[in-house]
Amino acid sequence: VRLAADPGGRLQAIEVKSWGSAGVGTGAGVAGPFHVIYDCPNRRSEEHDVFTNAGPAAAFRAPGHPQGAFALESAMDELADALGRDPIDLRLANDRHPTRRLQWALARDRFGWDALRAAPRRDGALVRGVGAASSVWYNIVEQGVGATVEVHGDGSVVVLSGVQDIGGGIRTVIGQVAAEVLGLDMGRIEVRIGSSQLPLGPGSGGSKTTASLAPVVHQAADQVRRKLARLAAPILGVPEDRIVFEGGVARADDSSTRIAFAELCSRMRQEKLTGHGERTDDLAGLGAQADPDLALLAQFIAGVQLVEVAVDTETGVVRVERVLAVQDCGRVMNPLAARGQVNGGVIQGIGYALYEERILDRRTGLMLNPNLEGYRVPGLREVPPIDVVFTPVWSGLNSTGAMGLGEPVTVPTAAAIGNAVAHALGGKRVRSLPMTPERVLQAIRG
Amino acid sequence: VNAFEYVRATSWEEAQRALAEGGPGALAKASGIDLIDRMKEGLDAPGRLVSTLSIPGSDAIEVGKSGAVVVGANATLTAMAEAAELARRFPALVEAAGTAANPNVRNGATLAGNLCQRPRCHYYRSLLHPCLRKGGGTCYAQAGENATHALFDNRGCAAVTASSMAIPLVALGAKARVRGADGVSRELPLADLFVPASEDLRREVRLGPTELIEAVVLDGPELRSAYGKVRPRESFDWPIVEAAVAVRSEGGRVADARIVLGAVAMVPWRAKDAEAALVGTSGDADTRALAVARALAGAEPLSGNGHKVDIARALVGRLLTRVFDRRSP
Repeated sequence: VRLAADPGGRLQAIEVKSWGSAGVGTGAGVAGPFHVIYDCPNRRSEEHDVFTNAGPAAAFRAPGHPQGAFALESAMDELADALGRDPIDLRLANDRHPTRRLQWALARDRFGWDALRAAPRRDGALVRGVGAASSVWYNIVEQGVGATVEVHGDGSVVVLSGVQDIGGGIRTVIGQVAAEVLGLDMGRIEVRIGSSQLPLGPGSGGSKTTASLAPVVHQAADQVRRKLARLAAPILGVPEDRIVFEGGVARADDSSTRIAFAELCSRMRQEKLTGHGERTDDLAGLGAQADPDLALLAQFIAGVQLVEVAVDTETGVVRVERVLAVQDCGRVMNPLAARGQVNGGVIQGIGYALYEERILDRRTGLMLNPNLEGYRVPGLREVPPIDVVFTPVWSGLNSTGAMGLGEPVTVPTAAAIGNAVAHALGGKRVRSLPMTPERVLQAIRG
Repeated sequence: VNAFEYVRATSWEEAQRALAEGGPGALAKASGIDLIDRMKEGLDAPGRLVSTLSIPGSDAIEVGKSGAVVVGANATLTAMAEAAELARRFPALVEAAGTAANPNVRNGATLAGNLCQRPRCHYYRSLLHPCLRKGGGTCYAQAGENATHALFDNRGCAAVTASSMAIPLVALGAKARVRGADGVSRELPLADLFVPASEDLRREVRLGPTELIEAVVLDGPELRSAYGKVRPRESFDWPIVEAAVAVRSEGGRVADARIVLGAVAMVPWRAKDAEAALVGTSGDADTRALAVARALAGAEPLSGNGHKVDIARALVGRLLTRVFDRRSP
């Protein structure tokens, strides 16, 4: 990585050359973050896929981005050192994304950054330092995906979509959206997912399931709501556009008349009422948007992470003691599930920073740690307090405001930890991940 | 996993008889944490497993009339970590038992199983690498990925002992009570149980095919002791280096000192030069620094494990501080 900046810290050039290996496959590029986080008039990236007979690779949670962010954000901190600037100040001087600018201001205050960054703190062999890094991901929408909402004569509600829930909680979000539109308790909604016989669901990748599907469910539920309102209008004696669905009833907007949801359903003449939604492009026509801030908001998901580490300078062992993750995911659909995504992304990032490593025998190319004994991922005692703050963005781009979350939260963690270790070690930097005790001791020796 | 016979022994005699009848294909099993893994990996294929867990009383931790503590072969690491008598008299042992592996493993793992487990060397554990310890022709670690390997006696097989219990037990002068093939029990210094790599590459403990560890006996003099280890993760990890220190003072002078390093050789490694530096002194800071400087005397790092020397020195320094200076944590 090479960066050039003017004396005021404005980036003038970003260059990255990368060599990566996905074994016998392609896709080991890491240049994404170099192109989309910072404002810079000149950029060049050169990515090489190196083929090895060391097994195939598969895409995993923000492919190439934790690696790219580690290199870019390490270089940004080195640039800040060279310029005598605070690392967050340098980032703010080069970042136009309105959400990330807000996040940096919020984060540095909440974390106590300025005081902690002033100098590393020594406690015997332990030295504590702090570091920060930017996150980016893309507002990806899979067009053409669908969902169907059925309301049956017995009052039951079923939402159908082929999407899979791989742990992010899309099943719950689907139920929430339908319940909100129909004014029902979530327990009344049955969600059927995970079969290709159901309406086409989005692929579970790219952090796009919620952003792709939540608006579709909203659309399908709203179609059914309108049909129910048409059914209710003569019963309630008000026009259908004055009927409100909430708390398990349909009522006139002035509450003069009401009918329970199940009772209303029993009046339908057919077996069920059906609504169907299908995803269209949020971004259609946005290329022509006059407002550059809105264009950034619409295209890129923003996040920042700040970490505090303790480095044992005699043993090289690094412990992450605290993480602050400030994250944008558009409108938060489910706070509990969203926090779970952030916690998971941060913990995985700690694994990248300190533990995960595929050990290949240099002569045979065989993997020597093909199990969870030798291939380390963080355990419970490696998980520090993680302070999660969402900065919701109500972009109005779609009917729910949902954007992605799963991947951006694991992009900056290892980079921030690397920067914190360098801070603790007075600028001595570990340039390889994971930062094992052996590598940290090497960096200390210089 | 191969098909095998399973014998639940209800006495040591029965266990030995079942092993003898089973011939070379019979293996004793305690909780099986390592053994069953090896069978699943194809490293071992015993035709008969003889469980000793079913022997009544084999997990007891008892204090004899003379004050000796006898820890049964099948005492779990958790039971050892929670035994008040051990905590009071042998803190190093309790620290080792309470921090090995993870709680799930500690709840099952037994003392004898810990002592007799096979090495974790990733070449030894890989069927695709016919290494010396598996009867093959080469030690792949010599010119391979050897960050976790031995610093001492490492030019034949460079694997290290996997037993964390052995480290404090050797420091504390423990004895192994071994039931011989003739059914007669004998006691030997625990340190003598372990087989250096340069002596025999195919086994780690000096036990015949039907010999069994019945118990470990702690009957030595009172020692002040401490154990510690450095590992990448606090949760469920093998140590990069571990160590135990035990000292006895008379009239303010060190009369006896043991410094034992783990994960640096195929056997628990006595740092004898460092021990000698302490004897006759008050254990002051200068003396401790001298002991630390000598703790790795004779180490011959391989291409990728030099960091273990530095980490071991740091660890020994911290343990000596703990043992000699009670104000330090």
